[in-house]
Amino acid sequence: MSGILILAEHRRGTLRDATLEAIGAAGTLKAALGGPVTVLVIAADPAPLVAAVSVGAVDEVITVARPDAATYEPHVYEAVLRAVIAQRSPSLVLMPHSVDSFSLAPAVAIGEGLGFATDVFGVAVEDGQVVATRAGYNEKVFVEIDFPGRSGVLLTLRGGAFAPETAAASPTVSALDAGAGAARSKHLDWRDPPASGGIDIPGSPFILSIGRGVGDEANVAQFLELAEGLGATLGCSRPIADNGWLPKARQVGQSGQLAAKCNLYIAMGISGSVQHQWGMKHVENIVAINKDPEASIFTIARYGIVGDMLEIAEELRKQKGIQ
Amino acid sequence: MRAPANMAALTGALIARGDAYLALPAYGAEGAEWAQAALARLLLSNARLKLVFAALPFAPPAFLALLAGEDRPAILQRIVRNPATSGATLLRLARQMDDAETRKALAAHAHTPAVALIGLAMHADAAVRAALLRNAGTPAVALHALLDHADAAERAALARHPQADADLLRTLLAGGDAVVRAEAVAHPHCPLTQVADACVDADAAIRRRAASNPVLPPSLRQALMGDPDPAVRAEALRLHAEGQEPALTDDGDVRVRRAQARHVALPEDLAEALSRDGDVWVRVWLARNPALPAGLIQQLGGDAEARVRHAAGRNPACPADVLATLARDGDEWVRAAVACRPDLPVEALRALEQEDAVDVASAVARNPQARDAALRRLTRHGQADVRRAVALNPDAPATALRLLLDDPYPLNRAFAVRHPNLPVADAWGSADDDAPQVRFAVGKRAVTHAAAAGRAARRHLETFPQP
Repeated sequence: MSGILILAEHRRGTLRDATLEAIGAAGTLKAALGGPVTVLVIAADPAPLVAAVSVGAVDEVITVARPDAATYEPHVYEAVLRAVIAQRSPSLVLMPHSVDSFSLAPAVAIGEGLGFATDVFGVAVEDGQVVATRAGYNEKVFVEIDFPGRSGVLLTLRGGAFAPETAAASPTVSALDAGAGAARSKHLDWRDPPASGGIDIPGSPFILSIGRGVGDEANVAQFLELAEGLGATLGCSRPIADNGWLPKARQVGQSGQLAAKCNLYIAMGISGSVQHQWGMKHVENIVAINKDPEASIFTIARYGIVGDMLEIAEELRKQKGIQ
Repeated sequence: MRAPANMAALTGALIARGDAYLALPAYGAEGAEWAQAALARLLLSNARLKLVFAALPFAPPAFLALLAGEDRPAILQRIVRNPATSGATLLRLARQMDDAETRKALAAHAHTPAVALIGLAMHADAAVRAALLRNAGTPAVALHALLDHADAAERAALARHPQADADLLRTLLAGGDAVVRAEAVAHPHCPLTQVADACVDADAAIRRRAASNPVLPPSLRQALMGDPDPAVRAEALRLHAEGQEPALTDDGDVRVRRAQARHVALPEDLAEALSRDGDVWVRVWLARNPALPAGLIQQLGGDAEARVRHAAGRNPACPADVLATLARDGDEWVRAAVACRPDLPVEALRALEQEDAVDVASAVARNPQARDAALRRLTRHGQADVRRAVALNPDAPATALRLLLDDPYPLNRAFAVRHPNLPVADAWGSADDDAPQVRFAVGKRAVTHAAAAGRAARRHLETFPQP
């Protein structure tokens, strides 16, 4: 058993960024684990996707062309992926933690006797063995998981947790005839998510987020202005969206958006409920600004300021010459 | 399920059910005194729940006082940090606990009595000093005690503390440090002669902070509006009091124009000029300005930028015909801006009631003029946020709120239970809900209702005494 196998995820002919993140993660593990990094592309016509996955540490791209894989179908994917795992015996299988993998990964792990962890945001190799990090108890603790007695491991990776790989590479490309398995579900229609008006919380690297501390709707505009001046995307906690002060597309948290690609999150006047933390706790640099020194947001912040968000925002505007 | 008719019956029912979350709101409630011992046994029966309740900011202060009799340090630490803990309980804990963490929490607590804060200031370590400086209730005498060994950062914190008096600020100003001076001259208790000196200081940062002093006399503020530094001019304008007509003129600096745009005493010709400003934020602030003439709001309601149209839609003075136009806007967030307004013309609201877009549907759900049928339909919307918005509508009918009691999202059920338009009997029907937050809301609703009924009955007896 050696090498890393990555299942490519795509929608409507476009590779999803999460696959490039999985390739990025594989690149950091390749030397320690040994063996090649292989990407498996299953599609009705996989050829147009080959160039997109030929990046970073990828040594080989395996394409499987099947008419019943024009859109994602879990039974077809399961059969093909299991066939490839049986043939190549990778020590690590990676796929994005997504609605696709929900319907596929557990069945593959059980079927092939692999160690299994979901929503992983850290992977290391210790003494030649994979150690995965994920959250437990509703994001309250981080858990390191090893897989004793398993020669192979399947992990689904949290979006935004690994740097995407984009540097072009020249892997070998091989077509595989994996005809096993039959579709048991039918794709009916695409439903687009609600329009976000150009607001991209999941894709933003810098989010300035406001909560109840803003106090009044009249104060919200100055934070939109401040966020624009700082080059940040303005986010908010649930009560702000509930009041209609900002659109739902800006809401961060369990019933809102995940700050998937954020590197810097400034939480102003946000107490930090568990539901809000769900959407941003993983961000590497969290700056918390709150009048209450006991606010739970401080327990996850790298930097904390106990103070009035309006005064601090005012000073930030002055310092940056915004107004 | 019928709700208990009075506090005695309710308290009995809560004890009989044996659910601590449901019973918690009754502890210390008016009319439930007779059952305190039984309630205490129920609420203190579970070691884990005692820890949970000790940190709950909505736990009744009387219950926190009871819990303070426990001897587990982890529980007591949580009570000291709980914002609902009363001053009397904090004083009691201050006498029995003397560890560093407790002193720090007491120094930071908004309810800690002044006498205790003064005592803490006398022998404070760095953490306690920082906590005292953050506590807006720390009295001036304690601040004077902290001054003796204050470092530069602490002197700046003293200078911006709301309880700092003129003597303390005078002493701090004499120290000469620029950061401390900047804080002191912005303080409303700063002696006016020193604020006047700051208005002509060579350092623009000092002049800007002086301009932000909320009690700056109008003559000094007017003088600062002619300052060569735009940040000083903008600051002077920002706090210019209503009723004091500032001499506003065209300004070349965008920061000043943004500040002008939100000023309520804006002359009409300047407002006219600002409405054509190239900076979108000038127009956004102007469009929100409630003192703007209807014609200009109408003009800004047709702005090319959706942000400006949204601001016009949120302006309380926006005329009805402009609201109706904005209700047909191509941008969803602009339509949402007017969809929650009770003054939106009825025909426009009826059209928006048919929309499914999340922000528009949420706004309609909060509109007190929305039809009952529309609200009932929105309680079945695919988005939990939209369904919850119905419970945020102050005029939501009981028929819609009842539907929310079966919502799959616990927060939505809790919001429905809290709504005053939902009959208490219906709320009581959720007493067995799976989610503790919903059961707590049911208990709170029932206790509030029974207490109000008890008060009304007593008033009736006082007005019409029995023979």
